[in-house]
Amino acid sequence: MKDEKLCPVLDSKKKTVNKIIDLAISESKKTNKKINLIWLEACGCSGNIISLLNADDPDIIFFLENMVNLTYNNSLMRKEGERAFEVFLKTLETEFILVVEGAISTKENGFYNVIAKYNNKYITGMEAVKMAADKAKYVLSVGSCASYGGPSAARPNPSESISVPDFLDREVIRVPGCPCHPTWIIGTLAHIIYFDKPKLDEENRPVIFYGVTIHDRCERRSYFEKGLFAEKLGEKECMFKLGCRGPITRTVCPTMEWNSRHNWPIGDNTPCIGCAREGFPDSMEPFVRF
Amino acid sequence: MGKKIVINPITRISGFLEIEVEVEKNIIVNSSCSGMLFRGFEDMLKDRSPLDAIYFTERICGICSTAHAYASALALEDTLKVTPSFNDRLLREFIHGCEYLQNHIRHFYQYTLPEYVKGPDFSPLLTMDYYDYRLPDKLNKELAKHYIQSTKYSKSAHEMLAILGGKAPHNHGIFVGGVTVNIDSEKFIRIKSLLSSIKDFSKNIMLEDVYIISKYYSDYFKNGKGYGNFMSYGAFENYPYEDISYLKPKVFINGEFFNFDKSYISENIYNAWYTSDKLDINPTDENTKENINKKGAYSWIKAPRYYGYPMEVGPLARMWLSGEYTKGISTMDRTIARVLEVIKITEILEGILKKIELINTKQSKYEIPIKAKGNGLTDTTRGALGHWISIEDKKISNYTIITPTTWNLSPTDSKGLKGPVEKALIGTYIKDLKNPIEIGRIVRSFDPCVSCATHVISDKYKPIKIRLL
Amino acid sequence: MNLKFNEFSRLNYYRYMEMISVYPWEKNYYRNLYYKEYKKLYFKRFKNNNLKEFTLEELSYYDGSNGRDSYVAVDGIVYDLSLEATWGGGTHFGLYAGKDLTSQFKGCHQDMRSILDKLPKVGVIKE
Repeated sequence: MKDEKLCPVLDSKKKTVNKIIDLAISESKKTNKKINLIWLEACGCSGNIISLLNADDPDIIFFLENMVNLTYNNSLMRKEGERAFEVFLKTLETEFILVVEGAISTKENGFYNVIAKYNNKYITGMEAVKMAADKAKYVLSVGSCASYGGPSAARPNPSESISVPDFLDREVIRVPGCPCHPTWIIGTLAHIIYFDKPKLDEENRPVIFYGVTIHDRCERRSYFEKGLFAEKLGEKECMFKLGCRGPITRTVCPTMEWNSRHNWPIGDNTPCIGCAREGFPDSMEPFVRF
Repeated sequence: MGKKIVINPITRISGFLEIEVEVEKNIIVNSSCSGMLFRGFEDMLKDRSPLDAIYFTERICGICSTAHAYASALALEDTLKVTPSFNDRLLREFIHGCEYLQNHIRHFYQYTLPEYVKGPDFSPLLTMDYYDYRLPDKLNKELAKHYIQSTKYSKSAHEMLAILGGKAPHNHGIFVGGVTVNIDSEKFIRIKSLLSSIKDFSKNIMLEDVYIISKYYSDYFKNGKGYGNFMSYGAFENYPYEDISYLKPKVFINGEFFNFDKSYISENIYNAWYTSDKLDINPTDENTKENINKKGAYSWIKAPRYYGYPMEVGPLARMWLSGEYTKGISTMDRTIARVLEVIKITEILEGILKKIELINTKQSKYEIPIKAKGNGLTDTTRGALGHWISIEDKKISNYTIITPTTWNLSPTDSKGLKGPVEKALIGTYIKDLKNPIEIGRIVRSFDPCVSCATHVISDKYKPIKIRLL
Repeated sequence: MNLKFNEFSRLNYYRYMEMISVYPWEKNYYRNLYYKEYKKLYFKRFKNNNLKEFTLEELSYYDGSNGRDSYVAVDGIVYDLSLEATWGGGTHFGLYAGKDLTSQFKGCHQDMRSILDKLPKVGVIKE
């Protein structure tokens, strides 16, 4: 199913991403000047930066060496303490892209999520995002927490978290997913770096990655049409009756798959839980229903 | 009163951590750790469908999500009285093993290596001039190259995880009753080849790298000792085969080995913002109430104790308890144990692959009981992880999670006993007060994962202080 | 639900055979089969629409769990959502099937009757 050529449009859609990335690769070799990138981890699980490390063609090393100049990121940077935050402040004076992962915790004026201490003052995630977003050329909210609130804002929302687009009154490109697929992150950034802003849908998501529902391209769609449904996990039929959220979730998971295209949740005999959709996890529950 | 040094953020860990130490004559005399993030997962889990706990608790942590899925599945199996088939158990153990490999390789190369090695020369790793780098240029260049190489292998570990678990991080494949994957020869050979490349890398390159570092930084064998009390809930256990067994639940207190008994685990709330009718509470107790105005309290972390002792958990604890590594307890020993464990785990995973049969998963429909309780205790990448679940009216009524980092970063209890990391910091000699790199090196050797620990930690205007007197 | 699919595909098949048949007796044969099947189906629907009455308790059985059908009542009419793509596992944005969801429907979809018109009706709520 996966390897069959279904339809020329589908095929070209798959290739669009590769084309952009290829072009990005050739373009990036031409210019030495890379744009600065701040990757802020706010109120979340830091899973998106781990997902980025899983990137495949281009991998994380190519990304760092040739595509962007990542100046600030809590998980990867060498400097620590005030010196780390100085780098952040310095980057603000240049042209840069801001990537935020994790929601904005607003309780107690943001003190549920402190990201640094500078001049004896606590810098909250809320404050840092605001500071950087005012000056950033583009703002990307990566992951479901940043894009929609996600698990950080799950009821009863103890940290009073909100999404980045809700917090900022400027344009934010949403790149949701829990975690976000590395190719969606790098592909979106590649588009920004080499072509300007990608085409966005009404929720400000790049259409190339979030254009069609999972259900539309699911490898088990034929089972759905025939009315053959799985009754428990581990079966080969459509998992709609187990609570699959594929019909209401728009991502390219079925064609792109995960972790160097090895597998994806439905390929692993489990239903989609709608992790890239607004309302995850509260409105996507129950994840599995017998 | 000595000079105060604050490091915030401690970078290259998962989550946000502040360390504050007080130094007198270049010796740390006082220290405190503050978790800098609060999300409140235990509150969120209330009233959700119990089966959702597996995918939901994964979201606590991006780097070790599989560990939570694993512990949560164990807890649910205990609650629903489900026993997975032998083959499914092996496959789940394999998925968990992949997470060990991914974590350890990333922690060693991406988090630890930049402290001891200059380069590679791209941002955000461009060398700082004030670091204490001792490797000769040639060796340094080689190790910096291995930083780049390592990304391929940590990625491969997650690829193996995805082949069996759907995706990584936040896999779908671990579920009540084992796994959901139907293993076939194509999947089998893919993971086998990926595993062998990781094994080659860890045996030939990673091991050598850690010995090079330990040779040039031999003074780190002398600091960061801590209590030297170790605990493990057991990893890769309950198998009749030697080659896939690692260690049974065990504790090591004051130089003596004891059998582990989970009833000895308690959480002390003396310095935490909770009120209850007693000081030491059981993980399944539901009668604690948060109370931010509690007098004298300074933390959201309850201090977990085993029979009243603060315990260190993690790779060194496991290697020590299983007798695989007994050379010493220090910052560098912790790092070496982590690398040695990578090799140990690859060997166990190879053993598992030999025993896996190509049969379909034995999943079934699960009935949620109206009222039940259960727990899932297991050792995972960073140490001992426990999930306690209570179900009422077919919904989660209480969920308690004690993560490895909570053990390591625990605050002072009512007896005045400090947490293991603070204990390890005290007495450390700091060479250059302007560049106190020793602190970061010691703290990172514990591999703290604050995203995990701080699902219950909070911070008010004043940071949580773990006061050491 | 399989049955429904079979009936429809049978109908299509007879229509198709009737069309491609060369001999009049063959055409006639398939046409008869088609009408017979059509009548059967038509009366079944008729019966459903008029006779099936649900109490709220009976309705709650059809909550989509364990592979059961998922029925939801809006304005006294019971709709079958078993194959509605947005209702995976009988749940829809935190709502569960087997209930009267009139107010929830109006809260989210206002008066968009067109959504309801497309859904198969299976009965009415007993007053």
